[in-house]
Amino acid sequence: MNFTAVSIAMAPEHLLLAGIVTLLILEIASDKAKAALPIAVVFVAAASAAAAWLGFTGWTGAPFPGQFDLAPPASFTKAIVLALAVPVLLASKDDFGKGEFYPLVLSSLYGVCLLASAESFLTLFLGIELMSIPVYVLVLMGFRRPESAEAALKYLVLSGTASASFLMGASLMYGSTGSLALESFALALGSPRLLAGTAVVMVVSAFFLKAAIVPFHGWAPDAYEAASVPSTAYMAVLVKAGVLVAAARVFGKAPVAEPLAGLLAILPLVSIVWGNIAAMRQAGLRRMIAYSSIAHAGYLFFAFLGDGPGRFQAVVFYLATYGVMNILAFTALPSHPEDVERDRLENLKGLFRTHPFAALLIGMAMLSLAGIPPFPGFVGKFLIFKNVMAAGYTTYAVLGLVGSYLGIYFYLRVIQYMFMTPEAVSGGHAPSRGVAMGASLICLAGSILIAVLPGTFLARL
Amino acid sequence: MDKVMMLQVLAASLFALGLTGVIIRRNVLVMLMCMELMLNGVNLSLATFAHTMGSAVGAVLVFLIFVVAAAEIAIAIPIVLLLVRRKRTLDIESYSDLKG
Repeated sequence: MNFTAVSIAMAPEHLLLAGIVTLLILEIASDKAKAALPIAVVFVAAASAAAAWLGFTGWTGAPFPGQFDLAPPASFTKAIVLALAVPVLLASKDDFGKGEFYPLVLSSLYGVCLLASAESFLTLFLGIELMSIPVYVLVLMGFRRPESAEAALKYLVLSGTASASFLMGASLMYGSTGSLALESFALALGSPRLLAGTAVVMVVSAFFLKAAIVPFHGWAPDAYEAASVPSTAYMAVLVKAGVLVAAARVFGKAPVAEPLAGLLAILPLVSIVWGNIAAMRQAGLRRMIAYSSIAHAGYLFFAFLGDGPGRFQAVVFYLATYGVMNILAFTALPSHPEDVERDRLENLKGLFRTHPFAALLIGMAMLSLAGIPPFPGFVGKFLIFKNVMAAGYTTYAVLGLVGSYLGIYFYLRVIQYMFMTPEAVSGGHAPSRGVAMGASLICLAGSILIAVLPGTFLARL
Repeated sequence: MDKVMMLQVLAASLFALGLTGVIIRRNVLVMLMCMELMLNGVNLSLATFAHTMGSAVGAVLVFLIFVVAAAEIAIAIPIVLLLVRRKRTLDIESYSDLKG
């Protein structure tokens, strides 16, 4: 272990840690804490820039051999994830003016960064917990809603169960291969032993639970609905990104063989169909996004059917497009004095007349999430389904595509409400604020960048 | 059946018992205890494997699990307190204001 290597390779993590410490000192030193938001934004942006710099210079190495290593794809993943967190932080100004929100988000981001470079189940476990534990508190902090404690408890119990199942899988893998390195998962995938098979199934179901794939999705709609809007955006995008990046690290380039391929195809397929159908019946945008994110987790797990080398690229690119569009929708949503009323679809009626800019941005996000061609969401879906077909799972690819068309209905319904219906009587949204507007503009710039230059992004992942 | 095998079976049964408890019990505190039981099953299994293989990694992970489990409970208990203060019961069925 070499001191310079550690400080360079972990620069994004170190910057986040510095941010957490600064924010905590600020919290203790003064009780006004107006500076918390700019400090958090500066540190996250700096960490993102550091990760991008590590990626562009092609920094490769393992400061902690066997536990933490870094290669350009991991650096770019960190850069994208941290950049996505900046608009979330900016959008939180109205809901969380005071300090507690920011150290929690930064420590959760630290976990996500750790996941992108984890090389063993030990680091991966630390990353997952570091990512999820602050999120329980973020859900709880939507305390303008009395239901938030209930949602936080449901999330905590299910997420804790998933962690235990993940650890049991890791332990069995340790027993059958003798190491906790991530390569032992690939070994276990190819092994005919019952112990190894059980271990694989336990780890995969833990990922399904954390990413809200259908039989394990019960916590997601409740947690998304009861959290306040910035926390929902954080969970829907960054926590999901962390879980999927971890899954992509665990699977690595290992080919997926038959019994597991069935599990990896059928449950995600069911969640695509069920997520899209259930989203149609929802009355609030947050709950609708929750069900649609269940469907999106389905598309993302489809990517694991594809061949090894293209997998990580497809997953991260899809996460970037899905994430930027989801955050765009959440940041553009004008604030409302009543948190429950803020995202009711009824209240979005005629939004184009009262908030034309917000309505246009939300409309664009909906079209992209639905996967309509000129928008980046289409490229992400295309990449995943192309890989699935190339690996020979044509039937599943076709069924998944059919399922994804179900989703177009409810995305277009939001657009119909905003543009084609007269103004709601009880709309009452506050006028858009400067900071939130800036957050949406960052997302807009990001999505235009991805839409115009998808090739440059893909070449780097 | 040798000693190692017996310990592994015990670990697996602790885990299974915990999982069953989380799924079927409706008392929040019992559910949290069952979560801890699952983690203890994992710890026993890891410690046994670490001992048989003579490598320290498994034992290190056991200590990390202790820390994380403590952190999780430190957040869970205040949440349960909030809920109990509002609902005056530990029954999870009555915490259903959201349409899960």
